Parts: sequence; structure tokens; C-alpha cells
Amino acid sequence: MEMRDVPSLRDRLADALSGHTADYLEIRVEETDATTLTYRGRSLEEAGRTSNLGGCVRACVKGGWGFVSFNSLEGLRAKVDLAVRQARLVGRETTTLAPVEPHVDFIIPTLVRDPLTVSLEDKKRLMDEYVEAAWAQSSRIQTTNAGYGDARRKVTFINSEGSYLEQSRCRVSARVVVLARDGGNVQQSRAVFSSTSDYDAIVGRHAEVGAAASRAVALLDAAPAPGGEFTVICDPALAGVFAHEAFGHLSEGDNVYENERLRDIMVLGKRFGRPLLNIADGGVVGGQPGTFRYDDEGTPTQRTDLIREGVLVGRLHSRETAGKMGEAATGNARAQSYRHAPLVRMTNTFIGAGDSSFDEMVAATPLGIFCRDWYGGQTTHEQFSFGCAEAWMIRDGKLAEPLRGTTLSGNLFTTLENIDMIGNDLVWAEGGGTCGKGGQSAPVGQGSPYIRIQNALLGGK
Amino acid sequence: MANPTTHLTDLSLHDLAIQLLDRASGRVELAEVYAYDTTSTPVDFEANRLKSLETKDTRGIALRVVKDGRVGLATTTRLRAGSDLDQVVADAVALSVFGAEAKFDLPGHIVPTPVTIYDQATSDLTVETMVGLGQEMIDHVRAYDADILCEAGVRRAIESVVLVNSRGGEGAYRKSSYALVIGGQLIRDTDFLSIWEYDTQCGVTIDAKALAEAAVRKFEMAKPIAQVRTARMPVIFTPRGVASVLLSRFGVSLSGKSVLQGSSALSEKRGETVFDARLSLADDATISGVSGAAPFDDEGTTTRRLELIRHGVVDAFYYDRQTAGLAGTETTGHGYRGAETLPSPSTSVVCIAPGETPLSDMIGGIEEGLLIESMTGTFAGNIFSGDFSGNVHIGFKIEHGRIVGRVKDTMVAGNIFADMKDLGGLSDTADWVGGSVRSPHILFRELGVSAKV
Repeated sequence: MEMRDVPSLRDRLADALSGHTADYLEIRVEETDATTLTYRGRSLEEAGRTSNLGGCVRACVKGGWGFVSFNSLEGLRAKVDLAVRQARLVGRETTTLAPVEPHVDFIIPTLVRDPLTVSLEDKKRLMDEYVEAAWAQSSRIQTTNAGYGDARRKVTFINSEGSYLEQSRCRVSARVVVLARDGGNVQQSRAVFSSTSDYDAIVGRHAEVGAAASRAVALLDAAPAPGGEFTVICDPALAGVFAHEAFGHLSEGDNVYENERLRDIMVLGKRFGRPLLNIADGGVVGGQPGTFRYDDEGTPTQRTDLIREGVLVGRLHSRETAGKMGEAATGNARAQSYRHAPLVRMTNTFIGAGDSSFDEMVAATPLGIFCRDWYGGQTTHEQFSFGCAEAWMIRDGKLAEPLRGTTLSGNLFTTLENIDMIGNDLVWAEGGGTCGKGGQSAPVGQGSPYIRIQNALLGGK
Repeated sequence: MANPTTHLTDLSLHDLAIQLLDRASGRVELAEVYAYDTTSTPVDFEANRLKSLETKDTRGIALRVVKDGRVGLATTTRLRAGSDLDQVVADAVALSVFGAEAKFDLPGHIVPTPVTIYDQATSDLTVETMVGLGQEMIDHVRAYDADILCEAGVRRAIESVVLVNSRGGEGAYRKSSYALVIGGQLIRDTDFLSIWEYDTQCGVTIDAKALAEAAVRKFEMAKPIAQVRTARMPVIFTPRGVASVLLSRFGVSLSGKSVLQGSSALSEKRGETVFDARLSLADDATISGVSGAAPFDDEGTTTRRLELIRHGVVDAFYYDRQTAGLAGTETTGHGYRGAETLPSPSTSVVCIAPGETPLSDMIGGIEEGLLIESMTGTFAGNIFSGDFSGNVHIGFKIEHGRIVGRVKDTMVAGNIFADMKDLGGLSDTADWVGGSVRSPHILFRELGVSAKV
């Protein structure tokens, strides 16, 4: 990555902050370089390269915030002044930010095989092979949508309390979505490979692409899932989304800190699940999409237990939400890019391992549904829903006929209580997910063992 | 000869685009520069009070080239000196080696459709006025019920676009957008009720008080909670329900790209009656004052109204230039792009024609059914199949022709192809949903409803 400005950037940022009159000030500067290959069917449709340079200033005066973002780094001083003026127009109270030790640090990722050292020819050849591996599975494959992407992102952060941080991150991913078709019946499945440190992690996985294609074809003959209440076993990928939607969002401090009623409901010490349930979040978890050393306010990341043995024990914070609630900042203030102020949000969220095996869970289920892989999720805090890609009936303790994907839904206050079996192996969903909140999206990690939920509501005919 | 050390910061958007085009033109068969400059000033209220003021400036540029018959793309917001533009050209040329075979030409003249999408009054709005409007909306909702924790937004954005290509085509426009959002959360025990109203226009033409009053009416309707049973029953989707749940299914099915690939269930259905004869759906970027409108698409094709479904018959699919070239047809002026991607077929302003049933008759004729405003989880699942399924977020129970309360823990599932062949009806008025959808209420005769017992 080209960074011709680096030698002088730190001084320029420090100079722009000097002599200010705000309670708190920070500047972030971000540079990204990304390459993408996009396939429609068997042919490469789009080969693109994108570079970005931009920055932002955020100021706090008497509890009010001003924010200015830009692409040109000229005239930084005036941008700081504008942010402070805006904050002053808003501020009517007091600035209460949880204290964070100032840090000066330079984070460079340790790469096993840097995607930038691999030629575009090789990347295209790999994707050509994956696309062909899908098509080779069946004549009932209608089309494939595939994509390769790698990106480098460097964020430079400085604040008025003495922190100065430079953090670089890398991500490489490949995905193949397969559509199978029989008349008006169109079904899909997908394979996703991803790494934050090693190009080779996405190489040599042809068999998994083939398996995704086979699954899409098999879904053509599967019956639609029934609607109504069922005992449901979720695979780790789906259970990870469940943890994120069903509980994670409500543990975010910004939902709680100025909402007295919600504070009463989300009071620490309250029981939400059975003693076997543990849920945690943390940017320190290694190698996941939501892994980083410092958040976008310069707070070091940590592991935060949210539910321990069924009881609410913690929540996720920015400096502001932590300060207002008299708790400690947890390193969960994240911004999508320099165009956005940080929001409180999850990093890598996971359900801790229990002691059941998958086979035991199925055997203990006389009638139920096994749901596998996910198509996103959504929450309104009290109620949430999430989609699974494929499913099977469970009859008399055995996996029975295959079903198409469906949507599951639940209520925060009853569904966590209804988790009655948890698998003995925590698995992280490869590639994690992209979480949308407040108009911003951010990569998140999602991990879980298999879980069994009683009385889950499925949408169906 | 362009100078690599030229400072770009002070150039106008037009001059910046020309500088990049000049650097690319001699090296490739075709070059197209899309440049944009956006300033947005959102005023946001949280927890009943002003939370932040922001100013966001974004300037970026995209270069599409055709070299040796293949397409390359490079985009950047790193615009410091001329050398940054040289890098963009080098990237686009390098990537074209791997790109798709070009099946399009670019227009030598860009002819804009006369459509008004800029209002000086929006530019002239002061921050003080915007703050006042937000406070007024919050005060209105809290006067109804002080237990509602309100959020509000007053957002203004001014966008400039310049499009130039090596065939000599040149176009530019400026668009203003003004958006209001008001809503809040009402928590009683473990019942969380979130209601939102929003609108977007190019001009300062939204009635803030009416919007806040609409939120109040919805809070009032949602207060009682009604019981639902698992059964098949009639379901009305409000215009917002249509926009948020159904339109994505229509969008992928009518896209020329899905049709070309064969992933659309409508691929071979052009000219056939697939839907109820009362259903007509068009895309129309030429409606003045609407934020989804534009004088030309993002590759310089004049915009026009396109009937996609006419009286239940699949009449047309929408195309950009490259997809049309591959399909052996003409672009319909639907080549829209993200900041970092090539143009791709996309809708602009989707209009569903109203029917003949007054809404009151529609509701009055239902013995037991639902009225749905929004659902969660419907983005999941397989949208190509036309299936939709999700949890009702804001929805109401209808009993004996009357709305009796809000429903909870209720899922609804259906399929746009199977369940829209024979509709219960369309309301006689169509309403705007933001600046990109206009739809009537649509009544399904029967959908699968699953309820928690």
C-alpha cells in the first residue's frame, strides 16, 4: 500500500488538534486499497480496484457531538473548528466519557501469505476453478454468482488525550453462490472462504464448493418447511447469528444508557437463560472479522462476558455509554469508515460450549427440525428473526426428510430460556457476517456450538 | 500533457473528470468517468433531545475503460495530485486484461430528461431551522405520550454528478434531498413498541407536523394487543409493507441480468399473464421532486418511464448497456452504480398502479385477517423463488371488518408468483414510500400465518 504522506501525517494531525477548546477531540484518517473479481455464471463480469483516502474529526462539548468527514486532508484546522462549533451548538449538559489510558501503538498484521503478493492471474485461476467445480456437480445448476475480494485498511487515530494509533488490517475472501432450478423452483446454496492473515486459507477448497452445489440441487426436491412451533436444533453457523440477533444487540450500551425502562429490564444480575447458557463478545478473539486491538475511540479491545450461567453480567460500551452508566469502556465503539462516527456494536460474539454432542441432541428430539447455515437475521430488540439455508425434519430421534430453508423467529424474553441443550464444540462461522446498524455496516465474528431451542416459531405455509 | 504534480483539491468536479478522461483516452478504446461530490448535513435527535450535528463531504471518481475489447474499472477517493489520477488509469487498464468482453458503446450525446430534482430551498435550509423541525416533531409525539422515547432526524444532502466519456458524451446534474424521520420506542413491561415515520423529497415539501401526527396515530392503533391463530387468512400489505417485503422479489425477477442468467423465475414469461390483471408496475425516474429520479442513468442513457408489468402481463425487463448487449437488446436506461462498482441494472422509482377498492372497504370486507406495515427477516431466504417469510414487526389484526389491535409473535409466509395471481384487490390510492416507491395497499386473498400459542 502506498502511504507517501505517513512521515508528516502524525505531525499534521497533532498540529490540527492543538489549542482547541472542546472537551474531547479525535481525528481518524483511513486509507484502503481493495481488489474485487465478480463472476456472473461462468464468466468474470467485473474486475475492479478501489482506493480510498479520507478522514474525520469528532468533537464533544458539554455532552454534544460534532462530526465532520472529508476526502481532502487539506485545511484540517478549519475542519476541527467546524466540528467544535457544531458540538458547541448541541452541548447543553456535561461531557461524561469513561476514562481510557492514552496509548501510542502501531499495529501491523502478521500475514502468513499476503494476498498482495499473489498475482491477479492466480486469483482468477482459483476462482475459475471454483466456478467450474460448482457447474460440474449437476445439469440442474442454473447459474453461479461468485466473487473474490482482498482489502487492506489502515486507520490512523489521534485524540486530545494523548493517544496515537496506527492500525492496519487485511482481509481476503472468496464466495460461490449456486442456483439450481427446476421449472419455477429456484434454490440456492453457497460456500464462503475467508481469512484475515493468509491467502492460502481460501485455496484448495474445491470439494466444499462442489458440496454447496450438491446442496442447492438437493433442495430442489426438498419440501417447504412447515410453519408453527417446533423444537429446533441450530448448527453452529446459524446459532452464531441467533446469539447476535437474539441477545447481542440488546446488550449494546447505546440502546440502554438513556432508556430508563430498558435499563430496568436489562439490569445486571437478571436471569435470561438456563445455567448452561454463556454468551460473550470480544475484539481480542483471534483471527475473526471483528478482531482488532483498539476500537475507533482508541479503547483497547477485550473479552466481555454478557451472559454467564444464564445471568446477565455485562454489556458492550463506548466511552460515552460506559461513562453515563458508570461502567468501564469495553472497546466496542466501531465506525464503518471515516464517513461515520463510531457506534456501540458487537465485535465477535459467541455462545460458550456445553456438554452435549450433536448426535445426543438429535436422539433426544422425538419431533423437531434441524436447521443449517444462515441467510441473515434482524432484530427489533424484543423480537428477532433469522433465516436458515436448509433444514431436515427430525422424527423419532433421527434426521428424516430434507426441507427448504425457512425463517425462524423468537422473543428475547422467552427464547433464551428455551435453549435447553448446547453442543460441546464451539465453531466460528467462516467469514462471519456483516452487521447493519444505524446506517453503518461492520464485519462481525459469530461463533457457537450446536444448540437446541424448544418452542421456536417457524414461518411457513 | 497532464502534469502528475497537479493539485486536485481545488479543481471543480467537471475539471477533475476531464483531467482523468484526458489521461485515459489515448490509452484505451473507450473511457468513461463518473465523478460525484456529496455534502450531507444530518441533524440527529436521540432520547428526546439533540444529539449531534454532522457535515459529511465526499468526493470520488470512477473510471471504466474498454481496452482490447475488455472492461476494466478503478475507483478512488484518494484525490491529492495528478499522480493519483495516473494510478487510477493504470489500475483500470491493468484490470481490463481480466475483465468481461465489452458488449456496449457509450453515448456521444447525453440527452437529459427534463426533471426537477434540485431545490434551492433545500440548500438554503439553516441548521437552526433543521434543529427546530426536529424538536417540533418530538414535542408533538411526546405531547401525545411522554413515555415515548423519541428519536428524530432532519437530513439534507446535495449531490453533484458529472459524467463524461471518450465518445464526447457529457452530462451533469445536481440533486437535493431532504428527509425527515420521527419515531420512538414505547416500552411497557417486556413489550417493546417501535414506530417510525419518514419521508424524503428533493424540496422542503414535507409537513413535519403531519409526519409526527402519523406516528402518533400509529402508536394509538398499536396500543391494544390482539390474538392471532395459526391459519390461512386474508392479509393486506400497506404501501410500506409492499416496499419493504415484496418489491425486492419483483426487482430481481424483472432485472435483465437475472433474466439473462436464467435465475429469474420470469425468464421465459415475457408476454405471459403471471399476475392478477389489476397489477401494473412501472419504473419511472422522470417524476419531478422525487429523490429517486434522475435526468439520465449512471452511464448517460436518457431516463424514461418503463412499464414492467401491464395488467398482470410481464411486459419488459430492465437493462443497463452491457447486460442489454449480452442479451441482444437495448438498454432501458437502468444502468445505476455504486461508488465502487460498474453500472448494473437497477430500478429507480417503482410505481404500482392503484386499483379500485377504497381502503375502508378492503378492511371492512375482512372477517379475520392482518394488515402488515413491516416485517423482519424477509431479506433472508431465497428471493429468486419469489418466496417471502418473516416475523410481523408492525402489523394489525382485523376482525369483523375492524382493526382491533397489534399482533406479536406472528409469522407470515407467501410467494409473489403463487399468491399474486388472484389478488383480493388493490386500494384506490397509491402512497409514496420515501422517494423511490409509490404503491397502493395490496390485499392477498389468503397467506399462511403462524402464531405462537
